[in-house]
Amino acid sequence: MSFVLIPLFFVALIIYVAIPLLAEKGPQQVPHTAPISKRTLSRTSKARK
Amino acid sequence: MIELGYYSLVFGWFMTLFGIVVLWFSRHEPSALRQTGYRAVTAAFLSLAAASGALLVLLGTHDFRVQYVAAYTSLDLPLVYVLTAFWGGQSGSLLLWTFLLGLFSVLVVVRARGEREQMIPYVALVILLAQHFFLSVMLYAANPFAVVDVVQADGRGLNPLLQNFFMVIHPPFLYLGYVAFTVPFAYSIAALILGRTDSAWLRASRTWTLVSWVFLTAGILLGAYWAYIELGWGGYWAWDPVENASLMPWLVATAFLHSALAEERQGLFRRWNFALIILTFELCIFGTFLTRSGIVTSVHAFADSQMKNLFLAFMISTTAISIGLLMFRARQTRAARTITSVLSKESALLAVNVLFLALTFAVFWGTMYPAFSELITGEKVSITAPFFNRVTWPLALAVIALAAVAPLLSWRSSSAAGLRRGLTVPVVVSVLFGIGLVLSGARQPIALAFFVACCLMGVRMVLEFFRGGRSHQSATDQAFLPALVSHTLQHRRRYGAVTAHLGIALAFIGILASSTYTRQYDITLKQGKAASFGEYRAEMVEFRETPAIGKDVVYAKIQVYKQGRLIGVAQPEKHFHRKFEQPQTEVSILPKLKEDIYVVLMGWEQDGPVFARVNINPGIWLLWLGSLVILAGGVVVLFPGRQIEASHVSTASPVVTDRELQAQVSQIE
Repeated sequence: MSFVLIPLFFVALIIYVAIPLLAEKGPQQVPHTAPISKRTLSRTSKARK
Repeated sequence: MIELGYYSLVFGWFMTLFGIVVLWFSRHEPSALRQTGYRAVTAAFLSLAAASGALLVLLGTHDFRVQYVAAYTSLDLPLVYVLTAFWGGQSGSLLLWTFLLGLFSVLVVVRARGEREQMIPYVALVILLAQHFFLSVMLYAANPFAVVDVVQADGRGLNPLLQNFFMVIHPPFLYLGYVAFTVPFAYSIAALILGRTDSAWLRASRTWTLVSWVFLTAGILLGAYWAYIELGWGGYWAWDPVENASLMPWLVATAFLHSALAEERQGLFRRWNFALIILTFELCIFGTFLTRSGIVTSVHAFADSQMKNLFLAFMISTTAISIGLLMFRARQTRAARTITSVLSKESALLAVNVLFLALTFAVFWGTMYPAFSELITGEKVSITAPFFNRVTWPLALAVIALAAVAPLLSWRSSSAAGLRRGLTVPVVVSVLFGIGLVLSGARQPIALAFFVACCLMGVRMVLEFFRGGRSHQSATDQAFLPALVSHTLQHRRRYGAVTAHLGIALAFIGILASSTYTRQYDITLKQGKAASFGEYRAEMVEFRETPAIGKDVVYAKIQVYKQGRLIGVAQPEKHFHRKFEQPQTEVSILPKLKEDIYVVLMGWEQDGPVFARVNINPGIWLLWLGSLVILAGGVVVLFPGRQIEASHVSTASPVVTDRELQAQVSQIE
């Protein structure tokens, strides 16, 4: 019995310790929202023309 | 259970190491990794709780396969002592230390809020380091779960001296005090690493410091009472190395409590406070080491112990790192200002600090000199009580005199006229008290000086209450008594300290009275024949031997008369344990208002007379009453009122209570 329960106790503790890391979300893809400079805007409009 | 206990220690060892690494790498900002570190603190505690539970079960089930169980318990031992054998030996005591440290580390992490939050990873890290050290000691040198080669049918049993109610509570109190000082130490190290050398660490760890001090004080006093009622030599303090080991951290911690006040209120003694808490922690470790190591009995007996090397390495490395950090932050730990007047509260606090450190050094020197001497010259010398008494009494006298005067002094500078006004009544009362003592036959100059100083201190403290009540009465138009009560309750921190000082005065009067005026009589008793000692008369009415569990008990029933009136029946005993050769003395004490009649059964002749030793200890109850008052004061300081004393607040370092600080933080949040 103890051969099962003792490792189980330690495994439970390890899972408890690891939960914050397991639950952490990876870095999310953030859409580029930086303001577009005037130079780039004028270039784009020139290109369209 | 043996497996659960042992592997829990191994798991705790790895978990503390893991926590140390994780908290170090997540120290800069809150993250999932830091949360993992905090959880490692809890997991380490849970594994220690499992190990402690396993040891208790092994003790309770008399599993004599385990060395520790076989060495400290036996089948006939009552259950309460079987369980308290947990801290009866070295490895069990170490497990208790580590378990308590684990518990405190969880409490620290749970309270990681407000201005503490930035410090907590470092605080937890330092505590985990200490835990890791103790786990290493247990795994390498003092494993409580080690098994024996040949299993015996019964264990050796617990030393009869330890089979006492005070064994149940004295060691845990002492250990709670020792262990809890790790937390303020950890805060100080965190502050030094972070460079936050203002008084934030003091405020954050204030409750811990007070709790530790209260437990250590209670532990020491319980030990003294235990020695008094159990050891049978008539006293309560023998300047034994183990007693001294607990007194040294107490002295430095008391100095720290006083100088921390100067830093919180005035920004003074910053470097000094760091140094004091580091020294307190090291002395707590040293005390734990000394208590169980036997190094003072003989250095050679201890020469091949692995534990010595581990403890020495830990103490040297933690001291070196702490002092290194303090030197690294030398510029930032400079005090906000310097002392400007000799006649000021800060000067008095500095003087008290120096005196406490001098006392500590004297006790340390007397305790360790035999070991140093044996190490260097090979000659064994012993330092006994007269040395300690000679060295400590003058210093203690100066502390008491200063404690009487210091509350009258103001921060920065005080006027001599104000001091004179405040001291007139107490000085007159104490001088009259001294004259009364001389007239009643007291002649020893040191004892007289002490009595007068204690009286001065006591009257000063009573006047503190009185003046507070009067000022509140004039401000609120209340009757005196309600005004006194409400004023005291409003300024709990101040009056808690005043109460503790009053307790010190009472306790010292008890110590002085009992040590200076104690009388000892050796009397010979025969049935039906009276023997007299001092103004008392004793008659033995019964003398017999009866068998009890695991021992034979010999007792004498002695009726004690004063002026022909029966005042009590003393029953001193001698216990002959079947498993221990040394017989054990059970003292009988008849406590009276004026003095204790302390009766010890010394010996007897077959069908002949019975010999008893009687000590008359006057005023000793004042020591026990004073002890209770000291502790009550300490507990009151732990729960300060809402109001702060505006007159003491300096603009340079505002003083706020913990509760106010939390309120401010929650408002900001």
